[in-house]
Amino acid sequence: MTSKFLTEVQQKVVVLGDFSVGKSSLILRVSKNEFLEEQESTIGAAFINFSVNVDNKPNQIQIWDTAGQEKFRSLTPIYYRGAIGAIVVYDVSREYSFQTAKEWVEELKEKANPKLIIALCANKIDLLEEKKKLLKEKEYADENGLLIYETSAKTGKGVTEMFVDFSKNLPKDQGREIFNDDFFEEEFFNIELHNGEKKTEKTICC
Amino acid sequence: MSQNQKKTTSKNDNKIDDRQNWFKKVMKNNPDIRNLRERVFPLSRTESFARIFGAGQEETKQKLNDDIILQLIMQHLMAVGFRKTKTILEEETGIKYQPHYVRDSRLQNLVRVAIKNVDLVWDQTIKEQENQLDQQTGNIDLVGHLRSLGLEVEDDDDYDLTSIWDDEGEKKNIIYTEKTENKNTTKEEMKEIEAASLNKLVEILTHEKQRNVLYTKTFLMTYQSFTSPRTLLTKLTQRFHIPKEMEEIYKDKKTIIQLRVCNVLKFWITDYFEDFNSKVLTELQDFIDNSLNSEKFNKIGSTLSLIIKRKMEQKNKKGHIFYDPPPEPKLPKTIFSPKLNLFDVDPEEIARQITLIEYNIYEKIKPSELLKLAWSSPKLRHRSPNVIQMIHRFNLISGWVATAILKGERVKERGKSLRWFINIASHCRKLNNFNGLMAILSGLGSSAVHRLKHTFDELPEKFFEELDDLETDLSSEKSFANYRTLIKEIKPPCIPYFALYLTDLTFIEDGNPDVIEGLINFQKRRLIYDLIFGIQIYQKPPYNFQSIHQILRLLQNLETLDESELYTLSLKVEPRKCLRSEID
Repeated sequence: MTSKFLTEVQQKVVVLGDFSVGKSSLILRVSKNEFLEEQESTIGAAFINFSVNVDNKPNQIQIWDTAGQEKFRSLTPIYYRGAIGAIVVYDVSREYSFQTAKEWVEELKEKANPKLIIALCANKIDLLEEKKKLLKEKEYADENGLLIYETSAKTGKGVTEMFVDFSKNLPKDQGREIFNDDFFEEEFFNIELHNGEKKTEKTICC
Repeated sequence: MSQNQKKTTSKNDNKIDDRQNWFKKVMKNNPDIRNLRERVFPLSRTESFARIFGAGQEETKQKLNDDIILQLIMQHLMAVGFRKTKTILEEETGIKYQPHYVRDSRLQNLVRVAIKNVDLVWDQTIKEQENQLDQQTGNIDLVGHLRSLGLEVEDDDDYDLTSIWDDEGEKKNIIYTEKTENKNTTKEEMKEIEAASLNKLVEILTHEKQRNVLYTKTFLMTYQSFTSPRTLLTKLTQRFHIPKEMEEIYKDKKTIIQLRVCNVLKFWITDYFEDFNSKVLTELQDFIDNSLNSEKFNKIGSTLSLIIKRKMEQKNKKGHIFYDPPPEPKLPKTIFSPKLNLFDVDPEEIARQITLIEYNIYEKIKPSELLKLAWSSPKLRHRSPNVIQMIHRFNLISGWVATAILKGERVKERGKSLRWFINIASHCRKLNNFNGLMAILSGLGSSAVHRLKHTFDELPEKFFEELDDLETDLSSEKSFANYRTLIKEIKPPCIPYFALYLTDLTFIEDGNPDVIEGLINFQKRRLIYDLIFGIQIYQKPPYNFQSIHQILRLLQNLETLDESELYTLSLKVEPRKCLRSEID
């Protein structure tokens, strides 16, 4: 029963980061790939939906993009609420965007779902000189328990791999777990939760 | 300095208030201090700039390599007359000194170039300006401000300077869309352009046979994403003046083409008069006076002049005429009291006044503000004053919602404000002000407010349902699928949820190249046209409400704490995992 519920609930992942670090390009790049479900990608480019097989079970992943809304500071909590994964993107050719990424990570750690899986995505690696190895960034990711990916939305390098690998790292048992009483205190007012519940009820009565 | 201030204030929450109010009061009452502060302010920018670009920093090393540094040292040695030392340095490093003939030192030039190229400088400059927005008038003169700081705003242009009549060469200058390319027709007008050169686009705009209103509209709305008003005017002028050697070929078409040029000009002036800065306007006037003075054209010339004159007069005029009187305002008894508190005002009236303020900004947004993602690009942001205002206003409202709720020291007080805001949100929804609704929802959903379990427990069931419905309407699920369906069915007036347009524009911009095989991607501009057209639909029907100055004044000077202050306050009023019995 529980597992049935879990396969029904989609896992929400948000993409955050400074403006023009290439968030939308990552989504656009991945949306041209085959493993996407056709009908979902027509609703709007800012939203993609795909499933990844983990241990022979399909995991439904929904990806939210906040591109274009970076200046609406007050909106972001609404976006990351209910998410179980967050990909924080920065642009390796702009030092400053890494600072912003760090600020995002700190905010997520302090205020978002404590079980949130966070990844740091070093985008635009096509612009990086060979000798640079992102040591500082890797150290930062290590210290903070973040996954780290290197991508180039321009060439496509590492993009699909990132989304697939990241999805595999999401806890399979999320859904239920994340909305248990413990977490309820922080999350009791959740849009996703209500939708999720309605969905389960339906499955149960059918 | 401001950071230190923040730290000390958040330590002592009770003083945040006093301090901010005190600061505002002092600045208001002492224009001299304010003036001085504004003059000194760039210092803080210099400081933060130096932190990032100081010697030894990554970015600096990349830009200033050893060669440049050595050149600078040698320049200095020359300047103080140490020629010999310079020669030795040259020998030892194997780098030859290149004399510098420009009056300013090389260093000054480097700094000047660097400042111009660094997004951060633009970003911070504009950020500061935004913080000092004149809330009363809502005016920001970003261009003027940037200029005063030596950041010259340029028209990024000279895309294509070959004359429109010389573009007939062998070079491919147009591509048609796949679906129309193979259409069984030889007629050009049946085909849809995918991409073309600027000259070709202008040629089609003023074609002697093809006439496509939608094409003209799309072109005039989006041309600033690939050229400037000045170049467009030059191209149109060129098109009007058919060269002597070509007159024979265009004998029959000459007058038609010239009329088409005049028509495009008329369309352009009528719909986008704001595109004409004083320089371009002078050039236009020159064209009218010198080229449209023949017997054949002088009537058209005077019509165009008349439109310009009317537009100039209208520039500062605005206002809508309504046939019905506005609904009776819902005013509290204290409306004329200097101690008027917003909480005393009926939520419906607050929603109306919030809507009026937002509509007045939304209405002013020009298509050019939305091109090239200008609002998010440091160097183009000065093009998007109203979009910036819209964003500013949104953040202000949500910040105010969170601040006002958290200011309630007791759970009951907070619960009461929460209900009041939910009521305002519902009224915004009824007024089709989705933007205001979302701003309030994001205030209620901010990390600092959202965690206040006991405050939300104060809500009667009815309010939960209400809020739930509102959130469902604006749920981000499936890229706001609910909202997107909803807005198609509503009856204007309406203020759409604005941030969503910006996301959609970002995807159009990032998902489609500007240029295909060296030609302007016009198909992309069609997508942008459709989106901006969607924004314009709701700019026209106005809201018919009486504006209440006492309330507007308060709504324009809302008090907001910053996010970290709000969170600290939130933890203070309801500590983590506290029980209801433990707090007041």
